[in-house]
Amino acid sequence: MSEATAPPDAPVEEGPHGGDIELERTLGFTQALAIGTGTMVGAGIFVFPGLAAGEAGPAAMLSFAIGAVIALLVALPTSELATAMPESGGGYYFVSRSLGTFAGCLVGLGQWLGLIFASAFYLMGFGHYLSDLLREVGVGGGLPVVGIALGAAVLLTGVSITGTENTGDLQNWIVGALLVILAGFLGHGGLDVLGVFGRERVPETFFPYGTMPVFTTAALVFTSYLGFVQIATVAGEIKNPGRNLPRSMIGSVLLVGGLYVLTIFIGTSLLGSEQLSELGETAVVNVGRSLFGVFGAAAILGGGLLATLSSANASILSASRSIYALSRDALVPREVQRLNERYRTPHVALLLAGGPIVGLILYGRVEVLAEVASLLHLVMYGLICVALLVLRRADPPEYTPSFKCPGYPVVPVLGALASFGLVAFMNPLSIVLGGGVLAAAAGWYVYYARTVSLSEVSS
Amino acid sequence: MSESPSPLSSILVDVELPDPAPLSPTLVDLLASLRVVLLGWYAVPEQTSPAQARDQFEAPARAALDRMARPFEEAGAQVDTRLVFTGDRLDTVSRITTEEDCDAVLIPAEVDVLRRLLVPLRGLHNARRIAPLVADLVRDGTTEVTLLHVLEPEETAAEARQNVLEPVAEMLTGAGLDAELLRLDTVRAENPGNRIVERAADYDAVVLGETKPSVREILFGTVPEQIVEAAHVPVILVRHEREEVEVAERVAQAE
Repeated sequence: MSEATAPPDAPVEEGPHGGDIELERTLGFTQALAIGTGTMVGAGIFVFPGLAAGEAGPAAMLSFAIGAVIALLVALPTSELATAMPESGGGYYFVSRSLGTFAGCLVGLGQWLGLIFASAFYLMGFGHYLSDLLREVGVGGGLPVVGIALGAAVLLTGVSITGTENTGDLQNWIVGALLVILAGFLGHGGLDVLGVFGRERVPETFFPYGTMPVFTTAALVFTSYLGFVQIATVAGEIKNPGRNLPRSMIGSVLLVGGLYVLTIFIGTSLLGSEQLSELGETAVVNVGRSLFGVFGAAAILGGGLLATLSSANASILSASRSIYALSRDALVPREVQRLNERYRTPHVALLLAGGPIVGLILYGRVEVLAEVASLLHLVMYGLICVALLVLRRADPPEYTPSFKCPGYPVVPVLGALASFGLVAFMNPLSIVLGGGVLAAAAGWYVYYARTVSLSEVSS
Repeated sequence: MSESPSPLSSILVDVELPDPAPLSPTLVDLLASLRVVLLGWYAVPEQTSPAQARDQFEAPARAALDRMARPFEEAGAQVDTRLVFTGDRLDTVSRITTEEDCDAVLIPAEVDVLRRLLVPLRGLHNARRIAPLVADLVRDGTTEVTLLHVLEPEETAAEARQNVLEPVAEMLTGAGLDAELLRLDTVRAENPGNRIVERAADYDAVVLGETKPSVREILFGTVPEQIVEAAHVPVILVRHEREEVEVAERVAQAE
């Protein structure tokens, strides 16, 4: 029986291939790595350095390093779960199959909205970059950041619905180009900072504002580490998942973590954290200018445009995948998973991402958007770690991961504690908003989804 | 058909769902003497999870594939169907060809009658796979088969005849082909690919062994594409011998 015709409240049982119809796995290691890296790198390098340096000084390096450690503590358990259940839906799927429908609903809706917050945040970053670029070349002076971000949100949603050309290769090229640009800058910048070219460093203490801001900044910039779990949301489409899922998740965290720390190190050394802070979202453009003049500024501006846009795009697509996973399990109405007959794209789910993004951009506070996105993801990350602990204890016979999380049980326990703990360092407004979103998700469960029961682990 | 000592040669025919381009009845008849793996693929854009497309479009896709299978069944072919929702046609064709261990892949074109079949050769390369397939194809005894060898720079026509064409002809007659229907030919050319494309225009179909190592590259190959586009004849691409294919697929899998 086709699931589209199943009664709306029936649980959905699904084998890997659903009868004799096959689903092709088309993403190799490089594409999976590009999805993770492409989602993450936009924020950490091109939006946060100025904001982070303003709050923590050069110690913002530590903030990014803390973020990388937490992300790694979660990436390892996520890898194990993803190889045991290489199904699309990612964190939602793991949590709902091990901790039950309520936790699943919380995580699923939280992941969907978290991606929407993240996407709005990336688009604000894009707005800053385009506005700066236009000012630099002297046209369209004073085009408002919010206006650009809104336009980009509408455009991306529209293109996602109507575009049937696959842009996966484009994404690979964008990520490749970004890595080349960054390698050039960070390589040259690193040598410069070490005095190879005789430049003086801006003298500065490492903790100008004390150690506490290191943690609050880590909470703020954690949005830079949301991408790796998006790899798990397309787990059903990854070739040889037992091998490629862990490698791409862990690899993308290590890659971007290294780049972030290096960027802050070079940025604060060349310009000093005070100046970076004044320059705000596009501070790294001036790091480029300081290294390579106008050419450097232009390259970083271009890189920033590409990176923020690709992060936003990847998040919109992931948000659509997340809500689809919920719809498939009847936790949200089935109409959500309808595909457009002509374009074969999930137009309802994409509009359910694009619409709220527009609303959030109008709200427009970048730090709050970023923190709420992080908070919603951190709750999911914590629960993913708990899910691993629960599954290993219950040890159901179907649970046969091909990748085993090393350091069990220390790694998932630390991962859960660190994920939940980091939330405490956020700005109170973000905690209230994020808490409100989770309360609304719980309310939705009580109102709509309480009668749904999901099958246990299936692989 | 029971005379055939070895299992039937097999060919992969891929069709796009839910609106496949129709195949010429002549082509269906030609292929009916082989085991046909009919692969229906439904293109899914990357914004869409293949599972999501499957949930919604399964029924029309299945119906369209069954419609495509019917003429083959009516012509007496052994047909296996595979239905795949995919974001990448080449990944799918490549995987199914390997899984089904198909000897050949069809690149279709319009064709009215099938009297003359061109089989270009490059040495004995692949001949063990080409010969039984050609013998299976023309078993009804009305199609003339031309074996064409493109000479190496130092090679004479007589050498080629002795070393390549006659051994292959022997394999064909051994597999049951009427020697009357066989023509042996050699040609000297700077660019073998172009010469084969030129020659193809005088024939109704071409059976081509590939020099590239994997199905993925076979389908991208310029010669078969040019044959279909410039000469408007269908091409039956014969895959490498098994060991070579396995090595190539392992390399592709490593990515």
